[in-house]
Amino acid sequence: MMKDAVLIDPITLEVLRHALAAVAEEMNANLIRTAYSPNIKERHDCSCAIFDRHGKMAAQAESIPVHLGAMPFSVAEAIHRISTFHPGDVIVLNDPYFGGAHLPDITFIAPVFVEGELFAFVANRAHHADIGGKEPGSVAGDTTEIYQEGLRIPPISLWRKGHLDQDLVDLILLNVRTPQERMGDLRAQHAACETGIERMQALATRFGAGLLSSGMEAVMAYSERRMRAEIAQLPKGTATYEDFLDGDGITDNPIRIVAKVTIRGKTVQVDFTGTAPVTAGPVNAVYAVTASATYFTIRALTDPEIPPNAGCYLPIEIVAPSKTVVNANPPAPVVGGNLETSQRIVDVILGAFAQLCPRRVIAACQGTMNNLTIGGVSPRTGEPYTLYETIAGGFGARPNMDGVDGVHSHMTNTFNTPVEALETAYPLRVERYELISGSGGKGRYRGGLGIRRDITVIGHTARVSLLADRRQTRPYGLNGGEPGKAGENVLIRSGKEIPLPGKGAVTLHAGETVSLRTPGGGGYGNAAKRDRGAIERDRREGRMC
Amino acid sequence: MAQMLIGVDIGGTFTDIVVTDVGRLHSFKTASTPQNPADGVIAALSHLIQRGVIIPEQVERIVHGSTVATNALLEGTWAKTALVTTQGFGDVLEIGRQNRPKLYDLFFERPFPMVSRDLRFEVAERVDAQGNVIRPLAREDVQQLLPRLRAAGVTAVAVVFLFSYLNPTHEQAIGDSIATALNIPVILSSDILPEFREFERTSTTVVSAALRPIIGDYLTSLEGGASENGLTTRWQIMQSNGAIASTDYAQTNPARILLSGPAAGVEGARVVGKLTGFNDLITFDMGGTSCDVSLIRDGMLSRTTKGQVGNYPVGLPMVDIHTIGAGGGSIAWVDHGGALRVGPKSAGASPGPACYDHGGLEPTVTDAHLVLGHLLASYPVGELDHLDIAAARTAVERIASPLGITVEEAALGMLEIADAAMERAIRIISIERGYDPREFSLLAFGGAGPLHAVSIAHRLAIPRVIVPAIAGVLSAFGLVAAEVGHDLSQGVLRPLRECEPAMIKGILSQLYDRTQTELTAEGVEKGAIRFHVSADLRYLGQAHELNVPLLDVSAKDTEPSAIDTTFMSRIVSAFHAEHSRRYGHAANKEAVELVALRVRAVGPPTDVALTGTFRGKEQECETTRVNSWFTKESPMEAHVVHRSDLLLESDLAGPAIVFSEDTTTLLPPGTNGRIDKHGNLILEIR
Repeated sequence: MMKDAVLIDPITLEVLRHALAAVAEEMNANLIRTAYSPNIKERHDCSCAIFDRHGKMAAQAESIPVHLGAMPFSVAEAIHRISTFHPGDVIVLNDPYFGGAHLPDITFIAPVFVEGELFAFVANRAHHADIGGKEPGSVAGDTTEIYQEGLRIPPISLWRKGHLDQDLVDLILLNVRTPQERMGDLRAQHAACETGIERMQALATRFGAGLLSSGMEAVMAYSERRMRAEIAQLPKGTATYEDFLDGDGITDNPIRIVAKVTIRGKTVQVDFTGTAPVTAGPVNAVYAVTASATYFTIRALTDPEIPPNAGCYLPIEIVAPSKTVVNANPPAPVVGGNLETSQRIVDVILGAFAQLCPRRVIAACQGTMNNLTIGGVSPRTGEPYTLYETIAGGFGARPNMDGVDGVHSHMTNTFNTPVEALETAYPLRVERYELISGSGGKGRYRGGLGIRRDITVIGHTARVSLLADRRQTRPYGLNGGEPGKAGENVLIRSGKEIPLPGKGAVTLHAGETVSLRTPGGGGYGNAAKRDRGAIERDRREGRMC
Repeated sequence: MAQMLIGVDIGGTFTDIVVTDVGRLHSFKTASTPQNPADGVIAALSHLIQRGVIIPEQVERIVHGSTVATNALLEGTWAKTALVTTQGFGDVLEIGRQNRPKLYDLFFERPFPMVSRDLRFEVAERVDAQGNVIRPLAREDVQQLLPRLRAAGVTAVAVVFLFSYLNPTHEQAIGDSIATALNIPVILSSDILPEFREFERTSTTVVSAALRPIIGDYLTSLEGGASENGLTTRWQIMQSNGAIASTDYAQTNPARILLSGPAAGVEGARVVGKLTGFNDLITFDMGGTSCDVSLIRDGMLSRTTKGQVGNYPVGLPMVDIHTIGAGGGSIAWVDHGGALRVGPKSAGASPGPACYDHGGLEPTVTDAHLVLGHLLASYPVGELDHLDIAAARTAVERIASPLGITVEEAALGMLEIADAAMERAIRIISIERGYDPREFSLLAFGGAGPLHAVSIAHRLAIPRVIVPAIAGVLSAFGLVAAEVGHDLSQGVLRPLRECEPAMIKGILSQLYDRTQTELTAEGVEKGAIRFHVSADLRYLGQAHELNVPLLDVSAKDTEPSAIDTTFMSRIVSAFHAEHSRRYGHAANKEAVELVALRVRAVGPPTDVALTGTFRGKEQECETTRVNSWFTKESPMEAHVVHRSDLLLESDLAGPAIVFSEDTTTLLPPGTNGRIDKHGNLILEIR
């Protein structure tokens, strides 16, 4: 029955595109509203998607780009490992070497049955606040093996025919620091799957299973056509760009990432050959992360309105040699690949495109997410706590205007935690949260300013983990623009500033402050050509000295 | 003596005036004067006084809905304003929540911060998360600030200190000093929005401060002009929350009136629903460029405190309206992937749809309706005396021919796609919030709403469509029908198990007292005031709260003994129930956090009737028939009737087209409807 392909006309195509996108968005809205982790609720570090029964992604709702290319690999692994599906089954996994991104991201995959047959899959992925491992929050900057990063979950059936496997849940919860919260998030992810299943079944009833099935194919083919049409508008050619990560958290040796971009008629190839081998520290990216970063960049350079699905990415070819920082192999640690390396991958791809289509490309953004985790035991409640934050910085200058001050860029777009929420929930005090004057790269158009955020530990001893890059290397400028200022991590003890590494962990005592100063964006064009009014305004407002 | 109520809704193009007199309703339309909005209104009122429609001494109230505050915000014509913050946090206004508005747009721009960085002043002071002062505000710091503020030449000052919702003493102290020294309005965040989340509170306070001088001038000229024409009644204004307030009250916090106009429309829909016996409504207002949807449950408007106006967050309660860019002017096109798309580009009012013959060549939703015989070329719409059907066909042909389909197929496809987008908008305000559309009626208005309503209702299995007789002046009607109402809140942000009943009592009696004082100042009798008490709650550790209704009491009956430990446990179970309803699950064992308490104090409902809005015909008129397309196979003969030719309390069956100067209602085949005693169309969908 549903095998009969139905020819989809341009009107039905658009109607089904709306309908499928609405299902993914409804799942995502449900997940965000019911989850517990601030990472999911406040920072929307999650995404939801629909797959056809072969595992091809037909629609996705994502709030941050780091999820873009991620789930197809998870679903492929799940289908590969679990041969038979039943209604009510839910497959759960987090292992980066089984299609995950890094361990805190847990993926749920559930089959959708229509008229007793496997019809599709719905899936969602969310960043949990802790998944065990050596540091609270599971985002340590100095791991050397994936085993130190937390609990690894291969594709397992957490629900079978609608029944939760309590033994497996107990196993998971015993391995994490905040089990109650984890269970709340797992429940929210399960509920999102159920929303997706119900909605897909309702669509199958409304449109007919055959039409809906052909519609998913048609929507993918449609995205592919649009992406090819976009690429066809880019000039053909090849260009290469390289940039560096500061170090891997273990040593300070710069880590090379290189991208060779080739634009052919209607396809693009991004080749990372020449990139540094897998590192001892946790800046390795698995292939799925590299794919996400590549897809993000090309979406941003073409038409971001193209519906994200499997078809959209067919015209994009990625060459990522294995055993490198852009295609890691076990047991390499990977937690920072998703967070930090993904940003540098975008930087190098943009750097290559800048040589081919300069008007579309901007100078480097801050190039890091400035991951900060603080964990300890609250002196007020006696309960352990974990705060995880990412901090915004400078956005790169554009060919026609300044960069933006103090904003998240590229692979992340997560909200901050309000100071008043943070201090209510944690024994911490935020001393300042402000733009750093003069941190943007100079140019005809200047880079955006970085941010300074200072947090003091109150009445107890806390463990602080840092995972931040661009503390040595600087966000590049373009077309004569100067690079943005590098970031700094500082410990303030009795009024004295002590430099901290970009990646690593440190113990803070009561009254001590960790101060993150995030990088500024790169400038664009020659600073001598900067408009006088803009210079005057920056001076008056104390943005540039 | 008969009392007159006047509603004046000032929109971008038209100003609508409704006058009620002995239970009868009169309505008028006049052109707006956007350069000086007060002028057009005064001229129209003066005209109605001369005609004897308005008798000044009989006017009990004049209520007005206005887009002045919204326009000032969108156009950036606000007052030069300073912001005073806790040291280290002057950039909170600009950094916001640190996210960018568009994920993939490398060329995005932030909304311009309403206070430039050189007009933000930081002061050393600090209150902690328990409300304790940990760094006192130094008198000399305040003294040093005053000359700097004076030199800045600002006309309003906003003050936002961290945790001022727990302890406002620093804000109050510095506010007093500034007001005394500079003699300009000083707006404190602890007055405007005493709740946590410093960015949203800062934004709301700054919006309020920056609009205050403008709104003050505007309201003064309005009341002055009316008074010169003998209308000495004090004016009232519709707030974003769907209730009205005195102009004095609106002036103290203009951030409360940003959605004045749209809120009036939803309020008008609520009252029409109530008078026709339907209290669960989805309102559907489709105009030329956009479509607004909102949900009314049990006769209560949905409100949100997470709204934004022109990208500036405003944390005060406002009617929860979801807007999408789909309207009669939305343009159809074929994209690079070969899909037929409708919008977001719109032909707007100029050039307008191709059939307006004002130079528009691209096919719009309105053109599709004309091609399909849903609109008639010979019947006037708005200011046009006819529509150009040939131009509409030529426009739709532009997409039909590359797709290799007939003009009618293309036009039907356009409507289906526009409907799909609007269906999605309604799903967001209903299903995503835990409401089942099958339990609601769709109340359609706006020029294009009733054309699409039946089709949208089918898609969502909504059983009924209501098209009000006064669809054209629904907002102005909402103004005269609305009750006086004020919202106040107090942030708490504490686990409920740590909240003593005495603390809750203390906060509530303060909120009761303040709203009661404000309402009695507006002339509401104390005995007529009702308090709706609700709480924002969440599981401890969650970041999004749910608003849960707790109490509905009369001002005569606010006996605080009702708030005891039983009441506290009722709060908890009400929250679990609401969480379960909205999200399908609840965690009954988890701790619950009280984020804020809210009191909404309302005056008595206004007694308005729809009598006289519509008379109908005494006997059946001849109807014409027209060929209309509802499916791509073939056209059908549809009845065409002017709204004023309908018989009250009679039946009507599709296929039929009911048209009027305001709007056209489409009844596809199989639709059965009834005209009620007020002239409202009630269509049953099955």
